[in-house]
Amino acid sequence: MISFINHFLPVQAIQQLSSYIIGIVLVISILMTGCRRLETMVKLFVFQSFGLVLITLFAGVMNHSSNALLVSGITLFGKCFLIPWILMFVLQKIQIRREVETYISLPTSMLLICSLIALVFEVTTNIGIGKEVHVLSTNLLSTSISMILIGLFIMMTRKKAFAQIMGLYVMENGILALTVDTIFEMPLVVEMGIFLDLLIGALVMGIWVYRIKQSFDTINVEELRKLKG
Amino acid sequence: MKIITLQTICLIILQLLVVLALSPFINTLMKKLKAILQSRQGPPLMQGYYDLLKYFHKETVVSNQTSWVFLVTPFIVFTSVLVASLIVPTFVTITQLYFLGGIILLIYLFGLGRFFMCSAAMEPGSGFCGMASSREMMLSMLIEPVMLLSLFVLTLMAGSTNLPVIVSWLSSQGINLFTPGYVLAAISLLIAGIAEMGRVPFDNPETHYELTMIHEGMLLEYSGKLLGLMFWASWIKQLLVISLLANLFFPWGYSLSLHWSNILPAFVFYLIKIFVVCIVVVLIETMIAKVRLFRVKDILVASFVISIIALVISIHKSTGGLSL
Repeated sequence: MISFINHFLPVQAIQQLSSYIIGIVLVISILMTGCRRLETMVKLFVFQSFGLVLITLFAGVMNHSSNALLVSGITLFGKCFLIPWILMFVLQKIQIRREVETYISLPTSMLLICSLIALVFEVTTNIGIGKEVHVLSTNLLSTSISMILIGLFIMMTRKKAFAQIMGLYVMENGILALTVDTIFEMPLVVEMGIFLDLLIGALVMGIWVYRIKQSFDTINVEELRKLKG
Repeated sequence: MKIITLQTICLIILQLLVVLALSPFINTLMKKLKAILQSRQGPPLMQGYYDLLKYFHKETVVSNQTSWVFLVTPFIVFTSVLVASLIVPTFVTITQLYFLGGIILLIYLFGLGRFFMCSAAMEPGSGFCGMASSREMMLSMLIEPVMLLSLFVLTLMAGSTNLPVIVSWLSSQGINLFTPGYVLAAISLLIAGIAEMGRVPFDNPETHYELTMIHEGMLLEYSGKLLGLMFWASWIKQLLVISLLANLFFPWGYSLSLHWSNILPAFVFYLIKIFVVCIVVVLIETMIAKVRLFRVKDILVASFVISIIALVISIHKSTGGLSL
């Protein structure tokens, strides 16, 4: 399988392609921060996950590990099809399309995230992680750390519970990118465990959001202060 | 300092003439393409020239409430755009004019024209003109940094702020030129360029509906020859932005040497590149509806962010096992 892929894609093409994918994944994460429609957020998440699938695949090809191929397959199945499907189903159920108000306005949050990313790139490059620890790529390292922070930021600034779930998934994607970058191949058991967690998480949080909508008539977390029987 | 030869002067005049002659045609071409996409017939391709001819034969009516700013503005706008056309590479790159300035001069020549246009629009005291000029200022505040930052990515790559130097450096690179930073800069410059041209997601050049227009709104009080001059200037600006996009992001096929035998194929190739960019812009225009004014800033902030990411990625060269 690996030599098969290597036959069609020379090493240089893989490097070139991966550098594009890293840039695109980074841009998509920022666009998710500034995204108003919840449905578009899920779509962007699919694209982001697909980028990570490709990066994992390429990392597997470069390091000749079949494990990474399996991981990328699981990610493709889970994050590009199953979880988005569940999330879309939940969105259809709760009939809420867009985020009207956030704690920080969306353009401002995009600008904040932008400066955060510049800081992350500066720190991770200057701290010399790339020299002391063997990583696949320092850009991927900075991107994954930024993605973790972006996910945290989305969870902090959004009022809708659904958007907060998306923040959690962005964070998880960042962790996946970080593991691919630093330890190249996670043990399959660990990866499958994480995948199962996420799947159950999507189900549970979907039901949770639906129940909140049912009993409070909103999914704004600010409204969750009153006790309801 | 290089010496300006007779040949260079001829090239400068040639470039000016081509920009002057081509710009009404390109505007009509875009209208025609859009009409074809919407299965309408569209104007004849020479309509831009007919319009100019008509405007220059008409009498100019100037309100007696206005001062000299109103009269002088069309000339300033036109001249600033013409000077800008000297530093934007079209089908020849006049590297001898490097003392004129580079990217920053280009952006602020557009800015100068815009400043005078806005102040002239406020002169007659018409409500729509004032509204349009305040909108234009808001847009320009958002467009300028995006254009500057995405052009700075190219500056970082080429090591110069000079457009002809950048372009000749870019064309000396092969396919390796297409780094992620470069592509992201292209995307954000495309968005900013469309905003600078005042085209659809930001402003609709065809509407005269008072509440939505931005650029057209500022020209409401102009008439006759002055109006023709303003229209011509905005068409030239549009051509310049298009050729900037075409030449910076497909930097091949123009004549670097000032030899006459190179110039003709370069000119043909330039026309093809412009045509492609026009098709892209028109396609975007047909697919997307005009955005509400208060949403415009969201799009421009997104493109600003993309340009910053392009800058960050191209500053931090990646290292590591994959060296992605």
